[in-house]
Amino acid sequence: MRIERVLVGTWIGVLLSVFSNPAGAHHAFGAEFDANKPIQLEGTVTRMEWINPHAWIHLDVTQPNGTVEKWMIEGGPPNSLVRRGFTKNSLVPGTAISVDGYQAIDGSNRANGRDLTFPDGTHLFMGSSGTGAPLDGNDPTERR
Amino acid sequence: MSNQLKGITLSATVVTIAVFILLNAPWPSAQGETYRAPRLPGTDHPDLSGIWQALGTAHWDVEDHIAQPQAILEMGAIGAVPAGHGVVDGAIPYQAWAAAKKRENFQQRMIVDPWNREIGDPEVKCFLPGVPRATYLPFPFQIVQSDNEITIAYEFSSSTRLIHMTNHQQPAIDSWMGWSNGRWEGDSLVVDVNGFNGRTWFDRAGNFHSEALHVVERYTPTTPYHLSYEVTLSDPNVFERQWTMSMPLYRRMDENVQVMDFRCLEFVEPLLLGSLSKPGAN
Amino acid sequence: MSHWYLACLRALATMAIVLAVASGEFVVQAQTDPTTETPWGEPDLRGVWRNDTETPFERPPELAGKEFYSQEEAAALAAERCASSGRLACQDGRQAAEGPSPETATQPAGTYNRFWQDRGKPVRIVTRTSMIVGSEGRIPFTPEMQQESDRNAANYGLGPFDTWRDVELGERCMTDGLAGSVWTGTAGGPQNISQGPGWVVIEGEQFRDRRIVPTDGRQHGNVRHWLGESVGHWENNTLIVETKNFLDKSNERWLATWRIPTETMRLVERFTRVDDDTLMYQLTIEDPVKFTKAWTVEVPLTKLDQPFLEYACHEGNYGVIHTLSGARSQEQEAAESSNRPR
Repeated sequence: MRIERVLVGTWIGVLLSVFSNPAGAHHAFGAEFDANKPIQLEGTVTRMEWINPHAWIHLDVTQPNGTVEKWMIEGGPPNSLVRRGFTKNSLVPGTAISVDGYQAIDGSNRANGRDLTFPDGTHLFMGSSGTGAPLDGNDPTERR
Repeated sequence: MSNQLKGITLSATVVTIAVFILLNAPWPSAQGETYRAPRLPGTDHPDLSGIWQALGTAHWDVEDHIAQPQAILEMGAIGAVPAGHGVVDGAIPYQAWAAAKKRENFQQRMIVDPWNREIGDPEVKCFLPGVPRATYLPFPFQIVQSDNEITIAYEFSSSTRLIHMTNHQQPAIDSWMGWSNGRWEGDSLVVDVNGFNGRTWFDRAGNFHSEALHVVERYTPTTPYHLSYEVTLSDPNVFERQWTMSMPLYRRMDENVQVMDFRCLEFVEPLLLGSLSKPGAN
Repeated sequence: MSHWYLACLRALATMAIVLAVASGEFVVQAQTDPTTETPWGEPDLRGVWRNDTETPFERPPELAGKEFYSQEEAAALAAERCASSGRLACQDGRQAAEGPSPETATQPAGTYNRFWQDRGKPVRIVTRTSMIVGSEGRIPFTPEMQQESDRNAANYGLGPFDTWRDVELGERCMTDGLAGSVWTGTAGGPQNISQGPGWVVIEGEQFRDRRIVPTDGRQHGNVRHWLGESVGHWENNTLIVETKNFLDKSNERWLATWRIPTETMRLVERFTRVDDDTLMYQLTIEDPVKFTKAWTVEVPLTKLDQPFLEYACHEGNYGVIHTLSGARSQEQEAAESSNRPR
């Protein structure tokens, strides 16, 4: 399935993930987050921290019993996004989003984000078959 | 050559030489307003290149302050705060809530909490110092000047500012050191700085601002060894009106002086991360 | 009468010119291309530069002995690599299909997908089979250091994390080391080069690894630094930067063993502006503690027509905090479960 490229000024979809490749870049995912603790959150963006080395989305998540939990979701470095036209106003507080990710090892309300979805179903930067997205053969470069 | 022509030539020569001497000798002046710095080669602008440093006690407190002990008593006289005259013209015109916040900042200045980085003096944690604090920290900085860009390289934590002299843009996201657009007004370098993230302080006394801070700096060469540094600051969230500070900057004359690498993160990790380490581990 | 009048004018004109030249106001312009020289007549290296190649650092073993591809081979390989890499735009204008990065096959929970990796410019085609030049194209480690490097790579990101010293230096936001900093780093590792008469400032974006390089003929001093001490000079159109006086930091954890600074490491870098868009970069590394001989890397850097951005790293580094906090909570869980009555 071809995925539409995000345009400047539209809502950003962020596939937030980490890299474990000693040859090129950083991030020991397994030192911080637990691949055995997947989480799925629905919430409202309260703040987007455009900071290095990782951007963070602050989310208010309302539980079924009405309490509000505050979560932080980790993204990649913002300088890449800035060079592609994003600004600090690109993800506005009040936006409702759904996030799939992996929780921090220490059990706190922090997670490494994997996929981001908007209420209208716009599903951006989906992961590979490794994360459960359908492998339908439309992407010739997708490796099994 | 006739005597008349000889006379005219001689007069012209004397006048020319006199004018040459007068134009190129530094004019002694109490304020140095008429000093004319050498030009950056290939340009019409004064050459501000070099290694500079502020003296005084503004890094402790930009306002008038008495001598007082260091927060860490074990250090004794080392690092205690000397008395100093303020570099601010008058007092900082805080809004009422902000004056209270400043006092709170001062009381909490030595707190280092890994889970809440917005409390405590950012300098203690080796965070980027912002503008104008970077100018008057007790470390040298170097101006490397070309026509389209002027780089200011500060020793503290390798902070660097790129002052864009052409193609002025606005920043997409906020930063610690802000976004600097520069221009010349006569022989003064005027730098317009905005795009701050509001996380820096002005000094160790807790004087602060928000992300709405707008700074305008003026660097003017007054002698071969001094720049006059004047700063206008405004922030509608924190101050009641615009205010100014000023001080001279001194050229470092030590032979082969260089800006060194002050990689202070290494020195603050125990402070920032010690509480998260395994008890007993080194 | 006109004779002395003209002579007088000539004399005054001559004196005016002498006066102007002496005061520095009148600069004779050299006969050079103004787009490639600074106003004071040095080769112009100023700008933001980035590695936009897909050339691997070391030569794949199956290509041993083959230092160069043909142009056709290189173009085909660049297209294939671009399509499967993190890029969104490729040299031939074709939009790469979006989706997982290659690493996803082996690291399903942990890869930056191309959204974060895209560098916004088509990949530059390079005929070298590796960035390391020469017939071997591989790092000439001593046998001991080769083992150390393999061990380091295998243990990357693994604990135990007792203190911050157990976390790798880049994750601590310190540095990945000077060697290699010019072409590595987030989003292609942009470098800013600023120039002034007698000085060149080279700064990497990701860790603010900054050198303020004198080109005024001074010699090295004796004070050691994490990034050593750099001294430069010009040879025709090439800036040559020699760096030594590194602190020995071999007792820290590093991303890559070959980049570890030791007291004996010496670097010689060459920066040459080849055209408006290209800065050819060469690095020769020498360190008898790590390598059997000196070796050289070459990579063309591409000019980025966008500003250099601040990268305040440790200010926002939640990662190292989570790593230590996670290790402490795992220890606590282990202690509690071993204390539970069976």
